[in-house]
Parts: sequence; C-alpha cells; structure tokens
Amino acid sequence: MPSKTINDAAIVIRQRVNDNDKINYTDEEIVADVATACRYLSQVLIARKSPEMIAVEDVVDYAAVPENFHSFVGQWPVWREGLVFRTSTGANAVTVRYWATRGQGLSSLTDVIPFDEIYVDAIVTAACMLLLNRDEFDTTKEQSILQALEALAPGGAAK
Amino acid sequence: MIDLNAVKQKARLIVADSVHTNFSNYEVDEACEAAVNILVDSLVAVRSHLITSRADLERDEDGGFALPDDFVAVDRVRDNLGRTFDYRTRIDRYETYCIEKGRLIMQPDSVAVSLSYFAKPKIEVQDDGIMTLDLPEYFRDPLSRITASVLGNDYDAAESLALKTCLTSRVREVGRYPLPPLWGGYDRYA
Repeated sequence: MPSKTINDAAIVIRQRVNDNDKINYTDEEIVADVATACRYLSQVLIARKSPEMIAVEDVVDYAAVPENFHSFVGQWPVWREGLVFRTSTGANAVTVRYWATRGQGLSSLTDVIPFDEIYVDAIVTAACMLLLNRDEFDTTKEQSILQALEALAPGGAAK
Repeated sequence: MIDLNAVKQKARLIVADSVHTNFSNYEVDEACEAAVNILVDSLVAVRSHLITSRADLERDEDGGFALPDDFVAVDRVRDNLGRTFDYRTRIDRYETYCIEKGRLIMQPDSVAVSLSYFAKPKIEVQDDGIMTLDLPEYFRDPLSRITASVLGNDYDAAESLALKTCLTSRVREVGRYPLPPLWGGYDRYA
C-alpha cells in the first residue's frame, strides 16, 4: 500500500544531492521531479506488464476516457476515439481492463506517492538524476542504479 | 460435462498468461467459442456418435420440415413408414430429400420424419457463472490446447489438433472392430 509522502522522499533526495539546507533546490522543484519520476515509473511498469498497473472500468458507448488511461489489456469490443470510448455493445456496459498510469496531480509535499514503498528507491533515484542533471553533474552512476532497479520490477509472466 | 471456465484457465496457462496481462477475457471467450466450433466440425467430419441426436419433425404449412435449432449436419433421414431417404440436390423421385434454406424438403407422401442428426453440444451457464459444455470430460484438455492455438492465431494447428482428437475419440467410441469369419466358415470371433 502507498504510504510514503513526497516529503519523506524529499528528505532522502536532499541527502543524496547534498542539499540538506535547501540552498540548491526548492521544494517545488523536488515535488515536480518526484511527480515526473512517478509518471516515468508507471510507464516502465506498464511496459513490463506489471499486473498492479491494471485498472477496471465499466464502459458504455461514448463514455469519457479516464485521465489515467494508457492502453487496453488485450482486446475488447471497445475502442478509443480521441476523448471517448466507443463500443460495439451500445448502452450495455462492457467491463474493460486497462493499463492505468499514476502520478497525475502530485503538487505538494504532503501528497502520498502513489506506489508501494518498494518503488520509492527507484523514484528517489530518478528524481535525483533529474535534479543533478539540471546542474550538469555526471549522472551515469544514477542511471545504472535506476536501470538495475527497473530490471528488478515485476512484469510479464508471473515469477 | 466440461467446465469451460477451467478450459479457458488452462488455455491461459498454455499461452503463459495466467496473470491475465496479455489476453482479455473477451479474447479468451471468443477463442473458446471458436475452439468449440472447430471441435464440433471435426466431430461431424468423423461422424462421431457423441453428438448425434434425434428429432421427430412434423410437416409444416409450407410443406417442408423445419430443422432443429442445434442442427449441424444430417446423419440419417427416415419417415413414419420406416423408409430411409437419400440426399439429392433436388427431389426428383421418392425416398429422397434435399435441404433448402435450412429446411428439409421431401415428396408429399411422408407425413412425419424421424431425423437423426449431428447436433451442436449445449453450452449451459449456471447461476454461479460456471459454463458447461455437453461433451465427455476427455475433451477438456484438447479443447484447452485448441483454444490456446486459436489465441495464438494458429487456426491450422487448431484444426489439425481437433481432427486428431476426434479420430482418437472415434476409436474410443467404436471399440474393437469385429474380425470377419475366415474361410467363409463359422464365426470364431463372435
């Protein structure tokens, strides 16, 4: 269950990028980069077909596409046309399963990171990379750490 | 009786999708339905007794005989006098029948018809959502593999698998063929 707030992550991030005294980076920058890291991580997990990213919705013809819609899990008698869903079943609702992104609307330090605690390290590393990259530090090490964390994420057939 | 939900789950297992991340239920349902149809076609091709059914048809006001809803193919046509009828593309003589627009057409001297036919096995949905197919349990595993082949879009594999299964099932139905009496003498094998 998601339990860590962006503030929890921000403390670790400031330690990592050596900015405990809030001289280099503002809270807003860190919140923005954590939000970016969350959205990035959700794309990675969806690409790896991690089942936790699946959401369920009852769809009728011309129903609005949810904001977090990424793509359908498999095929359904439902397709997307711009901002709405179309179905071949008319007013009869079809329960579809779709890949849902996370990390939309994160804007303050008190917001909860919408991922399990196990992913917070990956989010912190990605946010650190973005922050350090702004100052054009060498982020090669962070990159390889992030790749290692991504490779550990579940996905594909159940393991 | 075959539990079709178990068939679908087994099919997912074969295509390495027991976590439901590659194929939707809709795709698996459709594949299972296609697999049942492929299997029924093969059962008809080997003239399996597992799906033969019988119906007594009455001549309707249009002069023909309406075929049953689950009709797939004709096995044998007899009338109320016990005569067996042969198929023709048109009825040009007595003791023949033809099929036009899903209706059995015969000469007007037959009043009632006893039709032995190949029927599509019933699929029943129970209250708890379990779907059953009226075929022997023996077909459960082959049906899962046929469904998996359809999911993989390999209809050739699905059809050859279905035919092979039905040929085997035909052997099961028939049992041992009786050997003919040798030298025209007494029947040693009776």
